[in-house]
Amino acid sequence: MTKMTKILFRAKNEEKKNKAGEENSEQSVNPNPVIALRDVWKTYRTGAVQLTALRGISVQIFRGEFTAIMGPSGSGKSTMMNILGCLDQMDSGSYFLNDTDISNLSQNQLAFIRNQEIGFVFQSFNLLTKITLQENVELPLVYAGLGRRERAKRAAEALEAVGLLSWARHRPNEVSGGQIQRAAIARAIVMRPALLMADEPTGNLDSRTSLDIMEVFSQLNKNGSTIVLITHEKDIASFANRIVRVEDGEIVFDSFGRDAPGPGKNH
Amino acid sequence: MLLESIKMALSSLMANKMRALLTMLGIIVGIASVITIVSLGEGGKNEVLGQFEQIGASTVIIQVRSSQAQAGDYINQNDVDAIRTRIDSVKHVTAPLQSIGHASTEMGRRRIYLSGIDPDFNEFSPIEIVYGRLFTEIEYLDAFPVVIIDRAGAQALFGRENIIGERLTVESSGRLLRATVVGVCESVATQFSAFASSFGGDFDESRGMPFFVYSPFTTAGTIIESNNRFSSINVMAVEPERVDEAGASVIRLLEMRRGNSERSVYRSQNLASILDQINNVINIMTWFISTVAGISLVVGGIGVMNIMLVSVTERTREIGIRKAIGATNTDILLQFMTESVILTLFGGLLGILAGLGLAFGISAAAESLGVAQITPILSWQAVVIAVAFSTAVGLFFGIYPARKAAHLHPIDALRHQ
Ligand SMILES: Nc1ncnc2c1ncn2[C@@H]1O[C@H](COP(=O)(O)OP(=O)(O)OP(=O)(O)O)[C@@H](O)[C@H]1O
Ligand SMILES: [Mg+2]
Repeated sequence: MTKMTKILFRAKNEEKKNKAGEENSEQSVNPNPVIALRDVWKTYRTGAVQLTALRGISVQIFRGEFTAIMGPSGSGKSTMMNILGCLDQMDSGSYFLNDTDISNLSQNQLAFIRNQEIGFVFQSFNLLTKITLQENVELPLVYAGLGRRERAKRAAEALEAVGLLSWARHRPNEVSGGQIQRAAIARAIVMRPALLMADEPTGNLDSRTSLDIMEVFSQLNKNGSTIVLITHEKDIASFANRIVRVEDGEIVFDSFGRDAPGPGKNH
Repeated sequence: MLLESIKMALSSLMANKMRALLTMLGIIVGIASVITIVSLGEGGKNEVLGQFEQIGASTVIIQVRSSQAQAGDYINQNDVDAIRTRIDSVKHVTAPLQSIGHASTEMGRRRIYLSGIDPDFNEFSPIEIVYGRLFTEIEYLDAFPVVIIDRAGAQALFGRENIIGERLTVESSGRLLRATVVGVCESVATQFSAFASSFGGDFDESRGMPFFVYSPFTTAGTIIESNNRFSSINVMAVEPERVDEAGASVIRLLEMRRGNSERSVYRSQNLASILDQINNVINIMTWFISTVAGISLVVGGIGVMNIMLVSVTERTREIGIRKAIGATNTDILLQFMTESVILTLFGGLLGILAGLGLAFGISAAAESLGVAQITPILSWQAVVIAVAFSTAVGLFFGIYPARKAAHLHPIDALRHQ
């Protein structure tokens, strides 16, 4: 996207922010949720088979929260995550991200949102294997249209934040699984997104390395990042300060407004 | 972004060098064959042009078609005089006697190319005198036994070049002539083949280039058998613009004198028409090869499309990641298009090099076999066209795989492993 369209886009955002602000002010305590999902439905159709993965999900997530989404396999966590990450479209319902209505954006605008507002960490195969960690971390900056020098600087900052600066010139096949996930986190935060999302980021790691990675998330959260993380391990979820439990496409438990699910042994 | 795309494309191609090279093969073959034929054609044209340079734009060659001709149709000295005096558009006419013969001195006996020339001859193919002089009027009129010989001939027959005043024996068709050398001229090796072909000469070049010996037509006529019976004469128009007119007038005059206009015995050729003929031949060959090359390019293009489709499938996960972190459809499209264009463009460049190499190889082979002497010429137009074509192939055959990649749904792409 050119600078011009970005500016236009920002302007549109401001407009929406004001409108959404008015609407939301009546119903929510916090006037400024990062995520506002309302009555979201999603059905997968493969041939004759229909599978409703989300059945009216409504949730608001606020700035600075560290939310863990839990639930059994097949309950719809990833589906919800993909919609939150603007990777997939919902069938009905509404989604405001940073007060921008996502539901009727074009593909290019969605790509722009993913680039600017969202950072992803997947369970595995996060990085491009033929380029270095640094180049992987720089990729979002490339798509944002930043120059070489600015990219190198911001990538170095992000790698520093996850403790990988000295590994910047290595390729993914030369580093450990934990380091790959760290690099993926660095890539996710390099654009300073409004939202950091991770779908079972420790699913492929041993427990020791998992805890290391969770420390990184925890630290980022303390520094102000809003994080949504999927896991079905209690140990992992305990790093979060809010737990949302999904079953059969519905939210069956939300710790929001109650006491945190536990003191979080590392806090 | 384009720069980034190029960098990405290069690194992804470098990761699969062998595959990239094999994919390029069709393009390389296609471009190479066109470059070979075009550069040889250009070179050949250039060579022929050089040979015809001394004939000049004002010259027209009048030939008797041997297939149509009867004994009485051949041109004689009276016709030449008539042409010289009666046609306004004609400035000079020459009807050199041409014959193969031998020249001998104490040092040996050598094959020569004997030309009996008239005063106008020098206007058509200037004899570059190195020592001595051209023939005088009296030598022409009274058939003096004098000759001009080329440098190489002097060297071979006397062991030195300045041989003015020396004597040698010229023989042709079994008749002998004892003659004095009045001039030594520059050797005319390149002139020779043009000469030989345009005058219907029939040299077997493999036996070595004969030496040139000139003598006045009156003198040569005493030993050359085909005296006063020319199958071809050279006519020079007063100006290049009137060369066609001069040719037509000469033919009309000859037909009038012979009364054989209904058999179209005579034909005229000038520089332009000869070039036309050469161009025709080259164009036919170029078109033929281009068709083959075109097929090769299409096959190569399909190969590129195939490999790009494979690449898109292999890299579905990569496409998913790129989309997840903000690549637009256009970014992905650009990335894959760049890759296919780089592939074909690089193939095209390799093809140009291969084609040039092949052209030089062929020309070296042809020269060593004594078939022809052609230096291939690569025009910038040929390079531009080759580059444009290979780019076009990359664009055309790259668009489908690239669109396929660009329109992948991010979720589907990410789920692919
Ligand atoms: N692309 C798809 N096509 C059809 N069905 C799908 C698709 N993606 C998910 N589903 C189905 O939707 C339901 C929810 O899937 P989802 O991946 O969201 O579950 P999950 O909670 O992330 O599970 P897990 O913990 O195993 O990752 C599952 O029954 C799954 O089979
Ligand atoms: Mg999942």
